[in-house]
Amino acid sequence: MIQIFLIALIAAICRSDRPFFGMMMFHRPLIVSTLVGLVCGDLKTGIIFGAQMELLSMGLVGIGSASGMPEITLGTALCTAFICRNGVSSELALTMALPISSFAAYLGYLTWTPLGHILAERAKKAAKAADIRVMEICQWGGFLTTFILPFFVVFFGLLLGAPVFEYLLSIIPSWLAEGISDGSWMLPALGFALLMRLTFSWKMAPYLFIGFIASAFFQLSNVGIAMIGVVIAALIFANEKTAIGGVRDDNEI
Amino acid sequence: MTTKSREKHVTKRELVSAFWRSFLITACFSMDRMQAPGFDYAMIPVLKKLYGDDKEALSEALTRHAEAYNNTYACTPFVVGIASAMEEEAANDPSFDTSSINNIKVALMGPLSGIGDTFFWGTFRILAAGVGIAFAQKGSLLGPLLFLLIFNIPNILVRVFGMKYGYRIGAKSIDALISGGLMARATKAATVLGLIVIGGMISSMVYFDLSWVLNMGDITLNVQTDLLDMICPKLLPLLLTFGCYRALQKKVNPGFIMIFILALGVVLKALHMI
Repeated sequence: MIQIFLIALIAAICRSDRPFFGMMMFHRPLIVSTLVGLVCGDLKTGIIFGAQMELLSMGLVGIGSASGMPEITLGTALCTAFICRNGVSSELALTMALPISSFAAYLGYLTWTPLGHILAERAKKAAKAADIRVMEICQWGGFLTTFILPFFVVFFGLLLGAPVFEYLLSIIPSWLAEGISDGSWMLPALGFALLMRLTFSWKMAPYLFIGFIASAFFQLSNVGIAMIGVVIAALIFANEKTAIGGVRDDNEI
Repeated sequence: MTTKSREKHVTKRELVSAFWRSFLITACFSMDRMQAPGFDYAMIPVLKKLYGDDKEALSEALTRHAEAYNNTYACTPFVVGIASAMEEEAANDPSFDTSSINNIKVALMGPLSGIGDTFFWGTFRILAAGVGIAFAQKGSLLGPLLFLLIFNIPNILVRVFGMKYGYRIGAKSIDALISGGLMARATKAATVLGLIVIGGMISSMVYFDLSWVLNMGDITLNVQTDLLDMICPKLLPLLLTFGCYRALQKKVNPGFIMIFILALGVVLKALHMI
């Protein structure tokens, strides 16, 4: 029981990364899973599963505003807990993570999102009246919406979840489960495509291929590729003639 | 008529307070005004100091900063710094046009969030993830640690120096900075780095290998190793990624793409091709 409380606490703290800590990335699956793994006594599994979830959700970042994104933090916390506590296989957990996260987001739309909106409106009225105290209360009201409520979602999810998973395990045919698992491993392609949308253009494509070729043909590690990337970027920065007007003239967004 | 002596002064104390408050920027968020409540919250110590004795001016200032605002998280302290400098001007100079404060904010939001998003989401996070995931996949604690470090060192630096710099230069030199060459070069370099790392990750982190063996009489052909890998290793991950990219450009819903990929996995599994 204490473990469940701690896991829900971790999930809630990580979930409040964006609203209260200016997004320091500890809401990401890699970190959440590591912490949950630590609490459950299986740090290594937590780290590895966190890496898998991180890959899967690479593209699921709200660029700009934060609407429509599944609650990856909560979903990952629940799934890591299921792996460590209930012995669920990581493939099944991977498959379940996205649906669970989407469901949690749906719960959010019904509960904490409208609450947040009400608080924001109240803050605006308070601003007009120069009522600083109310403004600050509203801002901290975010604690309720982004910490307390998600905490309970994870808490109850953990209490209810295990038997559901055990049942599902027994009825899914192996080709379906394995197929979904194989598909999940291909999902990072979508994540990368989403990220590419931000900066990719055919003019800059050669750089993408430098990284790809280095990895595919030379088996260079990610760290090595990152190093090469830094060097090339530094070269570009030092040698590029300053463009006159137009910061993003060679990007198609 | 106007005295230029600084009677109302923003000191380090208010700026530090605003700095810490800027971490809470999304705590109170709504779809129409987005980060505005948070921005207002961050400005409170500064505005209280400048307009504390004049309730009407304070109310005006607070309302001013309750206008819609959205920016990359790390770039906000910079804007808070500039806004603070401008508010200080306004508090000491009755003829100061206060609408210019929001005009500057709005003018800054676009380029800053564009550049900020490219740097933080397009580069730093990808770099952190690429390195972090690589270590984490082997179960090493270095994975999560490096992930946090690589992202947060630029994050904190930009926040701290952004605030200092923003306050110091006020509104004057912003135009030159944003539309000048330095930002363009830095953005290009950051884009290059991000793309190189993504390219590497497409190859190393998208797992798409067929285990499909064709038996044609005497010849056994393993489609993956004898055919695809001969053309280009990791060809399938590359094609899949670009396929997703094209689909996204055609405004296909990412959710559909995700289900499609999962279904693809199931179909290939059922056909014993994967």
